[in-house]
Amino acid sequence: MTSFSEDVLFSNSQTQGRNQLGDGFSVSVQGARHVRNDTPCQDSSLYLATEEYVFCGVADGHGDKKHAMSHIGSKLALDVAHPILFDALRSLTQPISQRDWPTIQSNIEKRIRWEWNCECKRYMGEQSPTGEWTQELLNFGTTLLATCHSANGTLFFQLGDGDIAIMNDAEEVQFIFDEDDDVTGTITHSLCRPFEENVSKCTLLKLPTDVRMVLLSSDGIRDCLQGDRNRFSTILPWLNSKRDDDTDTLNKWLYSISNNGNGDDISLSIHYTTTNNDLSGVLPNGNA
Amino acid sequence: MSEMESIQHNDDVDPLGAVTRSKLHFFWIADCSGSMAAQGKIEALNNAIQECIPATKEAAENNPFADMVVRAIAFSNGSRWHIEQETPVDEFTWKDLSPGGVTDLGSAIRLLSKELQPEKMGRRALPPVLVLLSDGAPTDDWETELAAFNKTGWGRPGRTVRIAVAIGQDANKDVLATFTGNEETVFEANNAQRLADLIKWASVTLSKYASSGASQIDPIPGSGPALPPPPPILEEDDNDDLELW
Repeated sequence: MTSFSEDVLFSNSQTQGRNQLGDGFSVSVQGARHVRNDTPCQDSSLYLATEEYVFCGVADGHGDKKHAMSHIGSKLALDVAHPILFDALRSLTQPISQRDWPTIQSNIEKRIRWEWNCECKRYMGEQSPTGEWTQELLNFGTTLLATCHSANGTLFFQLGDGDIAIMNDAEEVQFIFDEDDDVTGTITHSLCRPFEENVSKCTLLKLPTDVRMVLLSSDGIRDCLQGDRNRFSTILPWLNSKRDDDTDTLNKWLYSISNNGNGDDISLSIHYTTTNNDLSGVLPNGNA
Repeated sequence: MSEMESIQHNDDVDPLGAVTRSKLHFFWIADCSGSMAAQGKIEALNNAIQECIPATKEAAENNPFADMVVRAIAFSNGSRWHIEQETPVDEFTWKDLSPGGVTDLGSAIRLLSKELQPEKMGRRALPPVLVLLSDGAPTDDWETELAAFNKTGWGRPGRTVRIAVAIGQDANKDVLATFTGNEETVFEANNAQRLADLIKWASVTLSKYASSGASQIDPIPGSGPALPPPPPILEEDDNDDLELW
């Protein structure tokens, strides 16, 4: 087992919650490089359980000087995402044709971008901003990975690098989205770019009843595992086995990954399902 | 979830055991054509790389979050690996190159491209640093090779950190700018001291920059690269005693 000797401040943000759909938490840990360089944690994460839905999200601010406000951009991304995804999920009660799905997906991405642009501009002091792209938004660059769970199903959204995975009772792990063919190295899709084409991935699923865990992760952990998805997938059962550990232990473990790896910030958001609804019907699978 | 890929787990093994630092791939791409024999250019190149090794090692030691590995390609009549194996920077030594032949840059790009494949490099890694050193104009179909490379996973814009050093007045800077993707990332070395300064800057400063780990977005059209500034041209670089190339 890992032992911890570091005595540093680990957690940037931490949220948790519970409702009839399950329980979970989110955490963002300042990366070892950021501690060393005295730069803030640019990730944000959110776990929000309301009466009607559960929202999980992680957002990874890009971090270098071109994106100096990315720690703000990542928080704003989560703030705007959860009401938009819940609205979308609430409206998607009818069977959806595969033909209609790209338009729905595109509209979700456009709406998130528009609202995020507005919020960033408000942060910069604009009184009544519109959501058109401007150069200044590059400062706030961030990814966004989010899920919204309700009785209708689960809506998954991903713009930029990171992973969304689910694990069932048998500890089988499945990634919701394939990796982008056009993304290598440290390149990522970002909210801060002008909207040119639909670069997000989005899907609506009724999760199988044996799914116990939904995990969203920024690239922080996988990049410390040589980018290997198979290796990354081993952390789901491991985290599940440590579910009852205190959060401080988890934070130290995440910090150790960063400290022994590439020094990046790490964010996780985890939802443990408890629902036993009849979830046999599967809605269109988007571009998963 | 029957369609799921089943992954074997061992609960006794902490995933932390598989954690490693990121690898930074650094490539020298050196012109060894016959013209490099003139005015001591190849000697200056060999000396400059030799001399930058201690500073590169020191910089790498001070970066606890990346492991720098070095390789080198030499090109003249065709191209070949001068250092083929990924060599950790603390084991890196430089064997002098000898000049002779033509300037088959395209061949060098093809050789490089074979290594910079997602199948070999993986998809998630620090942006490799490519430093092209040349004093002339290509003699083969370099444009076709470069176009092909630029369509690959690691060859697309923004996936690598590319600079070129134009050694002497006869270097074709347009070609070098096409390789790097931007004329601002082509640097002129018109004497041995300037070449040494640029080579040291590339191996120390650029490798540090490339290993920052910060996420990058695809380049916005019209925006230039945001590399650290090159070393200033010092008075001694303009010293009349230094032979101008």
